[in-house]
Amino acid sequence: MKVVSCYSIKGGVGKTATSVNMAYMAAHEGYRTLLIDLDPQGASSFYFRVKPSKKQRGKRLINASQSLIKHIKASDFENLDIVPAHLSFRHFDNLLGQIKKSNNRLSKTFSRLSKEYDLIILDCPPTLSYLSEAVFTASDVIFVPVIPTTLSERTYEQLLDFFKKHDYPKKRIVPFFTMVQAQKSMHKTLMKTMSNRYSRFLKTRIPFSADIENMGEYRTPVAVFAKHRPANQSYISLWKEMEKKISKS
Amino acid sequence: MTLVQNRFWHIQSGASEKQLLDKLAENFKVEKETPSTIDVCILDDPDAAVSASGKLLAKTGRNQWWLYHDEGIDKVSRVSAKARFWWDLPDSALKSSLKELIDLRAVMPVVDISISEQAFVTRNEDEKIVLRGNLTVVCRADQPSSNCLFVELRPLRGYDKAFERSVELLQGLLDQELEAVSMQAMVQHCGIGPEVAETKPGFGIYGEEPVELAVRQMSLQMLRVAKGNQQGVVDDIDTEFLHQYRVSLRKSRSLINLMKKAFPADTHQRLKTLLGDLAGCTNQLRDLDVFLLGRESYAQMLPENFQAGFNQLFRMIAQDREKARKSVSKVFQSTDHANTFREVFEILEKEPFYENAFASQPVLEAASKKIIRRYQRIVALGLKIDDKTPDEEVHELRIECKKLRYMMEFFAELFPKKAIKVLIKTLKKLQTILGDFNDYSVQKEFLADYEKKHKRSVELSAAINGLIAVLHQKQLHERTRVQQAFADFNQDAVRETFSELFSSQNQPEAGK
Repeated sequence: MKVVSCYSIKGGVGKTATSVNMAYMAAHEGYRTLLIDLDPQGASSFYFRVKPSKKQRGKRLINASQSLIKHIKASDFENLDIVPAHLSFRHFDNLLGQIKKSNNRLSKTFSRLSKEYDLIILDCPPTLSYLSEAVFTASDVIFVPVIPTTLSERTYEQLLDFFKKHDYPKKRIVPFFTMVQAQKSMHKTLMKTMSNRYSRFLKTRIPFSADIENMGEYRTPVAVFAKHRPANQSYISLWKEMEKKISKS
Repeated sequence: MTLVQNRFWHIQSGASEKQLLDKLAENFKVEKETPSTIDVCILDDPDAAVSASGKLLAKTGRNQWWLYHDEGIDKVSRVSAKARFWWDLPDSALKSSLKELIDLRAVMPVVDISISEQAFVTRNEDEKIVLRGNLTVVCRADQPSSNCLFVELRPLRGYDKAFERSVELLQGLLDQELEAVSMQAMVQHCGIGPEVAETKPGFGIYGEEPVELAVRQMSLQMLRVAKGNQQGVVDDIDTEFLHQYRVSLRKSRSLINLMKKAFPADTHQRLKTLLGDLAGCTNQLRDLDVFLLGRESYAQMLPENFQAGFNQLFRMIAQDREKARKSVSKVFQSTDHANTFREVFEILEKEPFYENAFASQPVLEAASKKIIRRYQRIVALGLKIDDKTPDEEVHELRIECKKLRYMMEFFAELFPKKAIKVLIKTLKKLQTILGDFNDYSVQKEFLADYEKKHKRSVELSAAINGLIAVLHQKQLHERTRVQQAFADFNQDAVRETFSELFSSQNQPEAGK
């Protein structure tokens, strides 16, 4: 079982769109996939029309991992389950902290997860918090969407600095460009300089697209309602690159 | 990834697919997926062995065979339209499973059925899918109106409530819940699959029953089986029909001979003659069948350069077999043959005469005495055998063992099950070695005889003589094992069990 996350310090960069489409494609190709929505705004849960069970919401949870398993819900797609946004950050800290450790009392629960799933995708909130640190530890690969703007470049550098300072393995970070508007010269210039400076950027660029924005209206992955559109084609090629990184990790 | 179990129901007769979906639509939005229909022909062997094992064999269009089992469906394509035996199939998992299930038997069409499937989903107010389901209609192709409707509901993780609600909505339409979602369960439930006969072991005799009555009853039962197998021989379905015919006849003849005092002397003599007639006409065909069935093992006995003669031999034997089968088939359909059978049944169906004390003795007592005596005779014979004993005496031991085995099997139901099973198993080991020893000698004779009659070519003679030489070596090897096999059988523990079970002073109760 591999754990990957979709993370950015900055909000509104297409994290959720990436998580949702990546989860869909992985499941479609046969990976038994679990998408965990860590963002309290619950956007990816919304896209998959999944709500947390009323009963569980707000309950004090003693064992975070068991609670997580209780919250798993089937999506409308084969091989894809969702944990909707619902848990407090504190519990997820605890939970993610356990994912990589094997000799603890929760290991049984996780071995159950690893029997059930090939891939866990974490859709993260845009913060740099204890939760994010737990995500960095737990993830085999951290995919970072970057809009080719000066502000995004800065936050990407902040992330790298943070990794360096706290001694997290930098090679887990895999950035790629999103919301790209090819007609804007600033986008073009920035992509060129950043790609030159950071060799780790994936080749695929996700365009700024009405189809991606429309996901909110259709409440499904792009592939379902715009299969043959360029937006979906770019997610397909992005997934191919991601898949290689995941299997190598 | 579903942890909750699917559930599966037969729908009450008269209820329609539409009614079912309308019921669900009271609470959910129901969406139908594209329906599909396939027509299949269910196949099984004459004993319905495939169905009896809980599986289902079906032939679908385009030369595909499917085997439905608990873990899924094994499929094999490009099956010849003439395929009937497991060895007719291309190598596959299905072929191996079938080999286990039907062995030498042929599978035949049982019934043509049509299976229609309609998958559906139900959605909640968020348009989220909360349940998946499948409607299946199974019917005989020749009676489309006599259909059976099934529904499978598959709960989705995290949507247990929707599942429970759906079951509640359908409650009034559901009939029986089935344990497993499987084609074999559906076909069985509809009552259109191969009929699996309930086989009761034994003859239904009891210890106090007078010998003559019991023997008549047992013989009749075996002879009915023999008679029932004739049509399969005439239709040339598989070699097992003839084999079963002969086994049943041989056993009834043995029973009548082993318990011959149960009948007046002239009755016994008449039965012996009649049963001999019924069996005798099939000897040659069975010899040829056995030889042909052994082709693979014979092939391994000879080197490459004997192949031409070997193939010629098998071609000739296959032709002879076909001639022999036609002649047996003719006999089976003749009035004389039917009359012989009728006379046998008439004799056995008569009221017992009880001419002597033996005939009216309780069968448990009589059988026990006979069995213990046979056992003692075997021990006496066996002890005399060493590596230099003439073959005739080994054959005599084999025949005695066979009689003992028959006696124990005939009357097994009168004795404690477990103990008699263990004894039979011990005896079987000895019999296997004696049997192989004998089989090699029979095969040698068969081939030598064949060679004498068909002096066709050098290659043929070479192949035959080659086989005889190998068989002779095998027979010699088997001979060296006889003494040890008997020693293994002749143990204190076995002696004690024989004495416990069959000595008249301590008759046990049956069935334990």
